[in-house]
Amino acid sequence: MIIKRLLFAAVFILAVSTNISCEKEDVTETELEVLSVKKSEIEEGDT
Amino acid sequence: MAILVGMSSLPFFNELITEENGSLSKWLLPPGIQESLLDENSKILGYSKFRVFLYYLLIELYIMVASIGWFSVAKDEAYRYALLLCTASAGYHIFLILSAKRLTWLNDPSWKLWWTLGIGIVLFGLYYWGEHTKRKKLLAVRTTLGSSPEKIISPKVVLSWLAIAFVSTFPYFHDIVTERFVGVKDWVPILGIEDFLTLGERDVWGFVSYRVLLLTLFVQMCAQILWAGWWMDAKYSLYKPFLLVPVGLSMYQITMIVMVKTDAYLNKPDFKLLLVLVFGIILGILYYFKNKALPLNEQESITSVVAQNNNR
Repeated sequence: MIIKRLLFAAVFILAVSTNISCEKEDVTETELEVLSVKKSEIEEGDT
Repeated sequence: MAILVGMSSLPFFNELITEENGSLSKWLLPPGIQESLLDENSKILGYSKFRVFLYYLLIELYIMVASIGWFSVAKDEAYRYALLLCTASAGYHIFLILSAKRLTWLNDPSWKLWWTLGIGIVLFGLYYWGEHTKRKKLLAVRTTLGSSPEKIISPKVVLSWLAIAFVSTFPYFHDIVTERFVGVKDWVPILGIEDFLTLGERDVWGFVSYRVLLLTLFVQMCAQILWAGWWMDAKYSLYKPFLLVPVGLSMYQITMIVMVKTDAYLNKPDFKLLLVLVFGIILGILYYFKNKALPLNEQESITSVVAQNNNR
């Protein structure tokens, strides 16, 4: 049971850490902007 | 559990597997894969950018996972088989994206609507046949007890089927009401929504057109409804609280689309998104450790009693 609970905790820590991986110090705001999809970036041809 | 959490981060997965210049991360796939997806117009299977392609592909996958998850838990619900319409719709769009057939007749909305109707009738027929067979066996018991036979088709059942069939059209709802590079179709009544949302040239609530806004909003709403449905029907499941994570993430995306009228990032891992994630996870963990899960046989008996009461 304890292993199961540790596993759940590990999975969630992993999920959070992957989502905040872009927040590390050497990543600037500009680089984050490059990585994300913006509303205006989606073209009519993409629909 | 791992699948659930992994799937909940799918709309953000593009962040993990692309470099800052837009190319794929080398640790994940060897160089040249992105180039191999380029078509003759230098597009990624018809998409302007690789991350936009990933965004829509993964949202469709996100929808498909939610519909399968909801289907797997809605064992006693009359609308269970209707959920397969959503699975089929998402699966078909994944096929269209990966086979670069989006600009062909296979993506025609009327074609998809006819198929939805056809598959819906077949599924409803299967549901009716299954229920009819099941109730025939119980008829002797019911006659003895003196209770009247239950109706298989009630207004509630028909409405739930119609509602889910409607949700299954969300991934191509923009195709039903608008035409690519043309705008809203002639038959659509003018309610002033498009005018209200249009803030300038190539600026419809931050999107370049009304059609793009509809596509993005409706795929997110489809995902939201299906994940929320899974959450509602996942009774006595240990993982139920953790479904709040994808439900929260989808709600965040919808909020970004609806509430922010200027241009904005759809999947940037910023502070607000992290808050949603962290609160969802804390809630999930709190509920998980409070959850004194019942033994399986007790769960099944309670579920069947609840279902019987609902049917009365």
